[in-house]
Amino acid sequence: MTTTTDTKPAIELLGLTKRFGRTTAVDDLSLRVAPGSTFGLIGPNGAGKTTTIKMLMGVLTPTLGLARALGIDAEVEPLTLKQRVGYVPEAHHMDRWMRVREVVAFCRSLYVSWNEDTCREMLDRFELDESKKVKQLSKGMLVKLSLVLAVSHEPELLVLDEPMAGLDPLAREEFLDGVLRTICERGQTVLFSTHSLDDVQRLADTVGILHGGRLLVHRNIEELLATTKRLRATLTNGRVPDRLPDNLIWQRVEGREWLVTVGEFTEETAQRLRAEEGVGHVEVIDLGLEDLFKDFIRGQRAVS
Amino acid sequence: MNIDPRSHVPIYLQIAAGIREAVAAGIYRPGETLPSLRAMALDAQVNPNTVQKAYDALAREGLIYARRGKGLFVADQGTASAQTRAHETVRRAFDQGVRTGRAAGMQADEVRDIFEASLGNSAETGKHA
Amino acid sequence: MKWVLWREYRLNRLIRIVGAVLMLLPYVFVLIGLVAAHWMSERPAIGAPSPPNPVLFVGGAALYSMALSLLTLTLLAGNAFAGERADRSAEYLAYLPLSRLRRLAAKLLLTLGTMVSIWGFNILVLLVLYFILLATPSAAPSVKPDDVLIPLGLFALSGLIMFSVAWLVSSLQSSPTFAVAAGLIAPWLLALALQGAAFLFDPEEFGFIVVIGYAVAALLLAVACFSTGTWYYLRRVEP
Repeated sequence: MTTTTDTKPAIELLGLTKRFGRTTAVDDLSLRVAPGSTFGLIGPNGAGKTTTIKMLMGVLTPTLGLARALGIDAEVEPLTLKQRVGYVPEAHHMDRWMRVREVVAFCRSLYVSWNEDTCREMLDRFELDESKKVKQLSKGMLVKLSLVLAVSHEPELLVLDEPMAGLDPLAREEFLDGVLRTICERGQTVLFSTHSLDDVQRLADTVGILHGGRLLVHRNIEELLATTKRLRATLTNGRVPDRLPDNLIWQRVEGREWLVTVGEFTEETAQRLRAEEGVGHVEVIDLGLEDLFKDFIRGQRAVS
Repeated sequence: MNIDPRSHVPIYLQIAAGIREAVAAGIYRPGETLPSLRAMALDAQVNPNTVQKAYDALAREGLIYARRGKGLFVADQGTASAQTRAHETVRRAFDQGVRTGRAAGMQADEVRDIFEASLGNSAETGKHA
Repeated sequence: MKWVLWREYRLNRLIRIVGAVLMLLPYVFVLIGLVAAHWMSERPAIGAPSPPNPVLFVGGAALYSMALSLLTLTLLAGNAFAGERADRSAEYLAYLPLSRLRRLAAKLLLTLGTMVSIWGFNILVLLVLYFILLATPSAAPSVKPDDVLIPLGLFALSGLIMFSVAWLVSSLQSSPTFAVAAGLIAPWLLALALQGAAFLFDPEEFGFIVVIGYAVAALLLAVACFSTGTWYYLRRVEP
């Protein structure tokens, strides 16, 4: 289920696939991200998040399918795409011998739509010392610098690849603040991949769970939380009924306790379960995003 | 405004609840403006779209209303309506507590004792409406 | 483009310093030699050898300097693409709106600029010496133009091979050391191969075949390696 609008999507992935020899890193990935929305891509390590982002940005060639950002295909017009998309990587490899002001000047010279006021304002807010060399910057300052560079050319799309990994709590908050400010001011589309479900909850409108290169779910966060529930049932016979609930995501039996997580939950789902033979008391439990995420992943692992 | 992203209550509802409490407590008075979308988003450290959702929900409730170009204002009945909501929330919490007690086999007196103790505790911490 | 060039300039600072040292080192030796010779000539009791001819001496320094500059050239070419991959700055650049063509042009400009400066300097020295010889033919009667032109030709051809092989190997992988090594070894391997071929086919015209063969092979190899390296770098998607 995607959030569709009539306007052109800011990000469009169609059957995107990437294979490295025998390994399939990204498997037939299709999704659309509406302009102006914030999309959080979550998944365990090795799920294919970074690979997907690399293909979107044109730094990796897809095996099959295509990836478009702002309607631009990176294989066809990579430079145009990079002019209009801001990117913050997970690991920072800017030239370590350059000073902050030199990095800024270098980037400024490359972008057509550079806004020096925005750049200045953000550098001041982050308290980045312009005369420091990149190798002297802490991880937190490096990430903030990356954000400044990504945002100063006024991109319509901002792509962040695990930007807050390894940051101390204060740096995280400052970075988050910086990202929120730019969303408030410019209303651009944001795609970010992360492990941190707290960040997803705060920042994202819609969320996509990636596992083994496959998209398990792509939904508005509130809808997802509202329609995914865990049911705790008592198994009077100690046996699971033959008819399992629809949209089953994950289940676990421990003694007489049966936990089952379902999507598209309605009261009917619970009632039908209560009506099953061998099922006693059924309790409906709301899930937070973290538990929901874990259940999706565990469910996938059980299948494969 | 402190948001708990781990809670299974959607963030926009948490924000709405936070604002409602603030109105009930008189922090925002009828006729006054609420913080802008941007200010609230930065304060709560959440996406402005989420704050918008919260504001929309409160507007539907009648707690706040929008005046073009001027911002969002607390409705005149705002404080009263927020307090009614607060009563509702407390009543539901009590109902839940009683149900839990009954399910565990407690008698009415036991439940009442627990309630009185709880009331006593909050009086000591001096929380005023 | 100015900033892209500046970056290349700063990236290769160490190599440029090495290049400057290598360029001046032969002259330093010559200077020391001339001073020492002058000192010894003033003390005939020591039994000094005959003083060296300053024109020949300095001319020799110029040729040595140009030979050594081939190392500088190979360092620059070997570092061109592999260096960025080794320190991973290529990954950073990959996300910027900067075309491979512009990056390549900047690298080429820097390499050419450096070589033109070094060779320009030495050729200037040789020209000055030439005019000195014209004015005073007795200074070095035995010097013929070929004595300078043949070494220069050899250096130029070898330089072409070293540059283009290092350029190609640099573009293909991510170890600058490996690329430089490949560039340094290439002319020797070529010479060896030619010697072997000439010996097998016609031992009488030995020297001639080796020389002509070297020239032709150098030009072909240079064009092939340079264009392949350039094409590969421009076409490759991964940093």
